[in-house]
Amino acid sequence: MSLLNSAKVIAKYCTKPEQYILVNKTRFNLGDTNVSLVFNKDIDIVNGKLVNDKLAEIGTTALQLEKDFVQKFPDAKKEVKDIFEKLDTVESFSFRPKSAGSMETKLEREFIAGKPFNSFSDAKELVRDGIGSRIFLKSLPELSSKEIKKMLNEFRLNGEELSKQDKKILYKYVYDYPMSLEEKKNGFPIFEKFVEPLIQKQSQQVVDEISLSIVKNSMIKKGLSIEDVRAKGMLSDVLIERLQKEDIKPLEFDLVNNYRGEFGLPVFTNAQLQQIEKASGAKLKIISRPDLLDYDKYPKEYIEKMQKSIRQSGYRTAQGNVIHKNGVRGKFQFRDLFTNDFAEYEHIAYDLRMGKNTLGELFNDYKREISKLSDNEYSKYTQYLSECYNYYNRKSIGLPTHKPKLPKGFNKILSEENMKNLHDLNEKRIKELNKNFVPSFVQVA
Amino acid sequence: MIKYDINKIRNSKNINFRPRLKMDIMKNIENMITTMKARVEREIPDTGYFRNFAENFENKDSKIFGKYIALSVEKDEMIDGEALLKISVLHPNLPVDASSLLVAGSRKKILDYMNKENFIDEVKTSILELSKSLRESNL
Repeated sequence: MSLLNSAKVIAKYCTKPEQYILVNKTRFNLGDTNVSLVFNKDIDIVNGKLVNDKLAEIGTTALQLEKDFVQKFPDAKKEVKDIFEKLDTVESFSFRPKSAGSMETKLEREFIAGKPFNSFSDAKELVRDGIGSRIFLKSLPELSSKEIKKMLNEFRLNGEELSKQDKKILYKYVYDYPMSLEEKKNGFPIFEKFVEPLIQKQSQQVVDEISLSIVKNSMIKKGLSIEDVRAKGMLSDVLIERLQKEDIKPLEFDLVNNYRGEFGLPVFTNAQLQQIEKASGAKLKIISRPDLLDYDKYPKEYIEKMQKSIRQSGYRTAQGNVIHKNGVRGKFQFRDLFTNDFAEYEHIAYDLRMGKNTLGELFNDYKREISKLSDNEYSKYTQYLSECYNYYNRKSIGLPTHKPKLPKGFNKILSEENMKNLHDLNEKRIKELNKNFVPSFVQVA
Repeated sequence: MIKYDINKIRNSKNINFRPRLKMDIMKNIENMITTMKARVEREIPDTGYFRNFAENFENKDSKIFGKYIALSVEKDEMIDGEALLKISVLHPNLPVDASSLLVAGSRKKILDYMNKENFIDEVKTSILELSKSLRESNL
């Protein structure tokens, strides 16, 4: 830590309307990024909370990191647009540098979990995703019954025609008709295969650009030639041809998450993930759910037992951790706009259930209803939210669908429509508050 | 007496703290590779459909953040007669795993790769890296 401890002034810094963090004002004003924090449980935690002294150092570093990310933001944004903007399957983008408040929370959590930081760059490593980019995929047009009929007639599973029973279940799946749990479980792998061409239609261009950018990066960093790329089977012949002819922008990917819920379709199919894996080689890690594979990678009984411990909201996004050209770490998220809108407010139920109470008074009635739910009721409620995810996803790939109804016995405050209404009102309120807001120090602690 | 701050040493960029794995886990890895080689030989056809398969063992080494470790073979969904050999580590408390590709290609290419002298070291390194990714994923 710097030699300024004797003159240290801890102050509150308002990062957003109604949100502040503690900051070592002296260090911040001097632009001193030197920091070395070691966690000592006996001294640093009082009444279950981190002491202000340490919190202020974490807050100062978070604020400095925010400044750094804001500075690097325009270049990173341009880099993403240069890669994906030309694609006609991409609808729009949203970008944001990570906020100081969010970084303070993350650094504090890591610090208490035994990951202290000895420098500004250590802290940056712990934060990981300094810049978030969302790439929104265009929705597909609604399929006509004629198109569906053709798809059903032509569909073969591993080269074979379906049995009468499987055809019946697939039909129910395609038209979103009610099914027993057993039918749902048995039919899902068939349904997933059936819709793969639709998912690919929506995301293949994006997957191709990711693969090309990854390979281009390897060619630059490892000195690989086109012949090496061909020999290693990193890309298909079509993509190799593009690699030779076009100006491909390099990008470093090191982790891909392909989140989806039970009976939910992924953003990237297994074949698309394989394409990205082959382009990357061993350095890319894929985080996924083995319980949704078509084979048992681990003991089945153990995985079934573990399923209870996962958040069953149906959260759906494909996500990649990247390192931008200017060195800043970023996170890419790929999803359609329907799913994105729902994801903006779906998490509030989970956050409240987990004790995160960052929502304003507007949500008081909703909060009260959530807290009243028994574990069984809550599980039923999350199943409803998961069905909402599937509804929006089906809409985005053009499949027939029916909007799920809030299960009987639940207060209508908990409906998806009301969640959206509350979220919209809150956004409007925040927008108003932001109108004349300037981040600044507010008071000496 | 010289006092060392172990956290400072761990965070130093100059020192590589790659944990050594215990002997029994090394034995488990060796066994898993041996069984998998036999299955690759037997179960990946020259052409046509085959079922994906895996071998796993329960991890007891506290240095690895993972409940199970698995080697798996998945059919290449784009190229007939080819497959992907992957190594995976299952999260200790969740049905979520981290995996990475070891090699992709025909049965012969995969077997040649598995017979390489340093294959077991590569598997070991991948396990440690996957464990790190899972730990850092904050799931």
